[in-house]
Amino acid sequence: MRRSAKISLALLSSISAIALTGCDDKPEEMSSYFFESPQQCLSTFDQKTCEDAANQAVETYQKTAPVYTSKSECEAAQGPGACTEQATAKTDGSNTSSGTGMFMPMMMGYFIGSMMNRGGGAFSGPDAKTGPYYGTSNNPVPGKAADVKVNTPPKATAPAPRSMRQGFGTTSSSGSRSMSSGS
Amino acid sequence: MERLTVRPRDNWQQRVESLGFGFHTVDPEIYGDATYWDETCAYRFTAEQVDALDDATATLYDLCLDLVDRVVHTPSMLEQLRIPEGFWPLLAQSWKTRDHDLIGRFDLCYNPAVDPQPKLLEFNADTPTSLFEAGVVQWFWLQEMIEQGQLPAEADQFNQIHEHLEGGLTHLHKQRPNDTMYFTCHPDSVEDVTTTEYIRDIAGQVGITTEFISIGDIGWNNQNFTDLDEKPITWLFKLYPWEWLTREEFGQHIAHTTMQWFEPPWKMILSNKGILPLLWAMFPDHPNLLPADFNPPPSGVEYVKKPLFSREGENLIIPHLGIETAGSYGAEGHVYQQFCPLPEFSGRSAVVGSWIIAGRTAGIGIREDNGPVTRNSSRFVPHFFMP
Repeated sequence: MRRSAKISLALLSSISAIALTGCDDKPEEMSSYFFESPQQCLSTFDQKTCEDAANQAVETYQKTAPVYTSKSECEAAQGPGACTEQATAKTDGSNTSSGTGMFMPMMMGYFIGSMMNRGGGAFSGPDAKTGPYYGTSNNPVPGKAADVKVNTPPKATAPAPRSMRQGFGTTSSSGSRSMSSGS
Repeated sequence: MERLTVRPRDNWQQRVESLGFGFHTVDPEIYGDATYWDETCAYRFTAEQVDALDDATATLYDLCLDLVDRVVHTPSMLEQLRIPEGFWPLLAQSWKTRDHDLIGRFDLCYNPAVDPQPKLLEFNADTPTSLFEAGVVQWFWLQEMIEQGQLPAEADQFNQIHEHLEGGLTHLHKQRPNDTMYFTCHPDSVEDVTTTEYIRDIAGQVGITTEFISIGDIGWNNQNFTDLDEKPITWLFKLYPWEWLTREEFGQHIAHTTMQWFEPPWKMILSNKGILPLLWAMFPDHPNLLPADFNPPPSGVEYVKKPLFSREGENLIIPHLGIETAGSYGAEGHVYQQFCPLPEFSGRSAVVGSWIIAGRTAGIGIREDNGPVTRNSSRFVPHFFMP
């Protein structure tokens, strides 16, 4: 016999639909950035996004962060020095200086998750997730939106050298040449 | 070699689509013909004819390797092929270390009723397509035609493309067991993506870690080519012509990286139609070659004028037939090859594309057209032979 004994395809039969939309074989995935303040956030996202996310994160924190009846109980769960007394919320949203006698983990900052595709950094509003980040920095405990993995902010680590791109692939997209570069 | 009218399989569109074949039918506005995959007919060969094609393919590959061995050390020939001088050392190094090659397709003028010897029309040594159609789609066609009783159980096909890709990639995996092989092409061509993803599919099955990256997304960080996560790319299959890569902006960096390329740099020599006159000069009167020259032949000789770099039958001139195809190639020069009449069946001309995979003859795919030039739109027609 002069033909292949058997043929199995693992990837291709499922890829044709994706191929038709442009060669993109990576699934969309959620990436997220952690920020300690809206100012820090500005290096990555626009001002409105940063402020909205911060406000939303505070609200989520206040509604969902665990509350403990004593500081020791809170620290046992959240780590030494990670807890603060729960503030009494006024009706206008600000906090009073008087405590409730209850303890909760300190909010260290918040994160913004966005649908990332192929490493791009575009923030796509409707798909964004945001949430508070509380606990100690060496024992991070993500907030309620625990399905989002928390990354260190891009600024916090030494940035990798950024590559230049679009230095290949320019021939086939210019002029009247057939789109296919195969033959 | 005969062309038979056969009954297409029921629901053949769904059958081929389920394999991942997304361009069996194309836009007639662009291609002039909606049909690309055509199973209303099939080519039947004899076992002797398959042997002749197999032998010619092995022979032509050997001739090509002999030619490379000469050209890499001959500046005048590298100049004739318009290979930029900055790449000559890379080519020589790539040949010295015998960097592995993976795929190539010889297009053959084969008309056994007239001449038992197939003749080389050209060698698509760098970015050959129709690999998936030949290796997979026509394989399933034969399998199912036998199952449906339309063809006898002993019907066979000259087609070990898939097997030889597995073998070649398995060997490569053993050499670099922990590395990621990247695959790139232009993302807007379904045909190129399918060919590229087909090879990546097999690579993954033999254990290689793979990533796809669009050609324009490849980065340069002043040291390495990089993926979108800034990881260095050191192992790359590209379905993108060498002569484009070398002339684009990042081309200047190619010689300064340690990258294992598929196809390897020495294939730059063979993907060039300038090899046709060079082969003829090195192996005059070889039975698998057609006379060819960088200058026009004497009057009275029927010839085809081809650009050094050209794809999909663009910019061909066949004076005695009054044919001149459109296109944007030809700036780098031309070759003149003696005209070889293709076999005609029911008014259609057939070209045999014969594959060499990881150095082994691997099988054939037939393209046919209503004229003597095989183009992007030429139909792919399946084949079988009776042993």
